[in-house]
Amino acid sequence: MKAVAGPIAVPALAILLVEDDPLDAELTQLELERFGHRVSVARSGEEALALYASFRPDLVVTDISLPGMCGCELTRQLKSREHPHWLPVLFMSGTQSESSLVEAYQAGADDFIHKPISRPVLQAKLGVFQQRLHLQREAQARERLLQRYRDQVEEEKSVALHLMHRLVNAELLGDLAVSHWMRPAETYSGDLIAAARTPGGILHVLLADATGHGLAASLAVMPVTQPFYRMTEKGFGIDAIAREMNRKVAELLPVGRFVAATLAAVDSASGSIQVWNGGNPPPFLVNSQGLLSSITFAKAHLPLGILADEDFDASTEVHFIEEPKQLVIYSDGVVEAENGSGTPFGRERLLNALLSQEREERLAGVVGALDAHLAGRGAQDDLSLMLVHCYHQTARSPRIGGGTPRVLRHSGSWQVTMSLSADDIRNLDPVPTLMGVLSQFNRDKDHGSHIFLILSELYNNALDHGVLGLDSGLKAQSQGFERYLEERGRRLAALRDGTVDLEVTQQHRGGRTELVMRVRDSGPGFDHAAFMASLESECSGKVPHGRGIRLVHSLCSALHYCAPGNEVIAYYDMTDFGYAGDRQ
Amino acid sequence: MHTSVEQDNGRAVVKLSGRFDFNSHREFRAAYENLLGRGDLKEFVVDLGGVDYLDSSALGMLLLLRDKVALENKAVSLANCQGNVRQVLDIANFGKLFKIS
Repeated sequence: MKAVAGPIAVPALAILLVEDDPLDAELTQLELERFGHRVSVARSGEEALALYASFRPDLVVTDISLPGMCGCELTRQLKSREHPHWLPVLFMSGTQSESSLVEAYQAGADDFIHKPISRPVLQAKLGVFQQRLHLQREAQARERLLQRYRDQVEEEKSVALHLMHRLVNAELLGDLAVSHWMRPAETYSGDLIAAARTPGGILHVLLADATGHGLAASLAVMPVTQPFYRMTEKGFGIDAIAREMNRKVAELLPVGRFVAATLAAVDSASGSIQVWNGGNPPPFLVNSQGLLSSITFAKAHLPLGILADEDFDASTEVHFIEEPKQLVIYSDGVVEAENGSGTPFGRERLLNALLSQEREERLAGVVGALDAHLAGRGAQDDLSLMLVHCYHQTARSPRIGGGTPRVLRHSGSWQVTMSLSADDIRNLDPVPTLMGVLSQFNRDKDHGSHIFLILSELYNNALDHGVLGLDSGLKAQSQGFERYLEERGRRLAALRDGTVDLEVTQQHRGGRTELVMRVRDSGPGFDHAAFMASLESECSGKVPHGRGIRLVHSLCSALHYCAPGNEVIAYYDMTDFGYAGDRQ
Repeated sequence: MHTSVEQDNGRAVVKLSGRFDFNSHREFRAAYENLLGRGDLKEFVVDLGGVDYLDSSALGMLLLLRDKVALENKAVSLANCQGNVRQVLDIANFGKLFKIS
């Protein structure tokens, strides 16, 4: 590189000249100024240090021998300070002694010039400094620019991650029946796990894996979330949801990009597990003894976004279970994760890790085995794994008698269940017992009295009409109340068959905290559709019955009867004050 | 639930306290039964100030009382309704059927 102040326009320098001899000082100053530089003169090292702060030189030119502080000491002090950039020091000396030269360089001198000063040599040396300072400043400017880009990218990344997190409604994954694990290959995950329940309480789960990984894959997987949540909320089946997802992905993604997905619907009321699988490894079931179930989900469809709607096959596989099982759904990244020697983790290792563990430990078992396999190496693809607890409600045994509430907790959510036999129903008032357990989780008094009211009304309805078969029309007649109460007492005392199940779940949904109260009785149900319709239309409760459910309806954000009407689900919003005023 | 009755100047006040639910039916009826059919009483008040819990059966009982009193061309008003009791009454739209204070 040519180190001359030639065609490249390098700015003039601010030079701090330190020279005790007044004549030398003036001559050198004139030389320097002739080259176009700005010069400030100090007569001693101390004066130079004082001047430094206000003058901010680009270069210091100093005599080696000065009165008081010598040039070497001055250099040491200057170099030890914080400078925004490199501060070169050029020494001048009449002595030729080797030792003083060595000392100067050791003190931090960048170059040395002999006195008397030769003008061309000085000019050449200054040219070199100018060039180096110029290059250094350009490098600094580039570094600042890079830093700004980096900050900007980080900022955008955090916004994007936040958005994606909200879009996939990660908080819905608090469902007690679902446990999951994800590890993206990069910042953004092209895998997605979602869970939601239909109004009838059927659990829908989704594991989707877009082609590739990183930001592009992460964006590609987004279109499947909306159909999944919206249609589940409306009670659509997973076949209809799969079809809509396929349409959406085909419409939005470029050709050659697609999304592998597994959808499952788990209904504990019937003990059914329904699966649609397009392009993911086949899911499987593990039973409670930790053995691989013989039930398989072999039907393999193409991933979403490949077939046109008319060619799309939304057919699902359904299996019924009696004993509790865990459904295992995972992305291909899990079995394909390669260790240092190129060996994939494989299905065999996945099964071993799952089957050697107790139910609660299975997820952690797989993660541990994967980490051991990868031995600190990052996976090449996004990894995701989901375990879904499946059971058949009526086959669930043994019933815990004596009205003992059972509590399940899972990452901020919890569930309390109580199963009452005929004996329990005769002898217990379950609502205060349940409230006692709930008060451990919620101490809010206002919510407490609403929840008490809702549970009481729902339980009384289940008991009076579902289990005891009482007709509330009785209450309307004169002396009806007594007759109703007498009849109730008589039937209750004679009760030998019948059950009531109560279930209270607190979950987080869309940034809100919701209490889901489910009451199911062994009765035949009733015409709940007509009843709900009358609830929506009537404007005041002149009839002396049906008023309880009207109260519940007003206090809750949603109320839903499941066919044939022997099961009711009330959704109560814990975020706001639940009371909605006159909402009729 | 506890009940007490005060009569003053043609006005009968039935004071209730505790939990007002379907188990309270007999007490509630006993409290008002002797007040029906009396010409000297012009006004009925149910004082709910001491009630801390009210369920839908209680609402039904209040409606039955209202019907019985209406046969004598008299009215029932509900007094000292506060907090959750007030809320339940509001939700059930009882303001249209009773004078509530």
